[in-house]
Amino acid sequence: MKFRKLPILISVLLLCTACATTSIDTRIQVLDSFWGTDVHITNVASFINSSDLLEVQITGVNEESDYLKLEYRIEWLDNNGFLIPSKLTQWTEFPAFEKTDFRVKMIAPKTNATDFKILIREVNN
Amino acid sequence: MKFINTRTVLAVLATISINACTPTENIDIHNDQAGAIMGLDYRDFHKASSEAISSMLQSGAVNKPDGTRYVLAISRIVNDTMQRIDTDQLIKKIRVELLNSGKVIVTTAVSLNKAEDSMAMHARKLRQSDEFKQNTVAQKGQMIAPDLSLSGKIIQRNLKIDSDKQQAEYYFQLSLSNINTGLAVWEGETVIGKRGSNQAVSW
Repeated sequence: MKFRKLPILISVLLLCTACATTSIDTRIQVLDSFWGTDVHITNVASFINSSDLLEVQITGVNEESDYLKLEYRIEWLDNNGFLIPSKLTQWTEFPAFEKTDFRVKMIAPKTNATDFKILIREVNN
Repeated sequence: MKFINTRTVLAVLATISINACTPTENIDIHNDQAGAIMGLDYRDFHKASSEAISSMLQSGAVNKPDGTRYVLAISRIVNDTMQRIDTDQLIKKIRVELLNSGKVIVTTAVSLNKAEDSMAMHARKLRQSDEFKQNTVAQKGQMIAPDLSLSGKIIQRNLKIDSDKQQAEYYFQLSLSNINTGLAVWEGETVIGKRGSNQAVSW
């Protein structure tokens, strides 16, 4: 009897895994109810600009039929993984229009920023 | 006389009881999701300054070709709103972040009216004092003149939508000029719009 239920349990587990949005980059974490919405991060690109500052652009898509107001918070890290305090580390709103992709660009506050951690969530109105 | 005293005491007691019903709490500035107000609050200054800083750094306007720092002087920042604003609420954040970026250093010895910190000039008067070791007094020709100047304006427009609603628009406009050439090397504008009750005050 117990063995009969096992395939069902495995199926449910697989289904749950398929439902969970897999992050394209572990440095980007999506919070709260945002998981429940049909928004995905599709690409993360970074480069060092002519001022020797790290620039990051994240691309995502809002597959919902509603406009969403999202916000991000980025922490900049040096090559030892230490946080670089910055006034740019704060929740910043950006738009995600329905059924379209969106892009957000960020720039490091100092030349010693080599890595980052981004949190994204839906704005709580 | 007794009647007035009783009324006064009752009024004071009522005020105390009202205050007791509304406890004071600290704002969590890292996660403040409280509703907006018609006037400008710290979140609006955060937004305007962050956009200006990011835009300045991305433009490359503060990147000196020889790798050294630009010296920045703060020029006039006009408050053209109906609110009593200290424009340092905006400018200080920009200064701090530009300094931390390693790209810019701000002079406090040069300003439009008087120096932000007049001590640099004041301390030079010690050259005439026999009480001070003269080799510890600031020497002539040591101060650094500014390369860049930051100026700007905060504008407010109030519009009536209908008998119940109003709209307040705020424009944060900044310009970064090369003092040598007089040309603006960077310009930025952040617009913040608010819509709310006519009862709400935006001044």
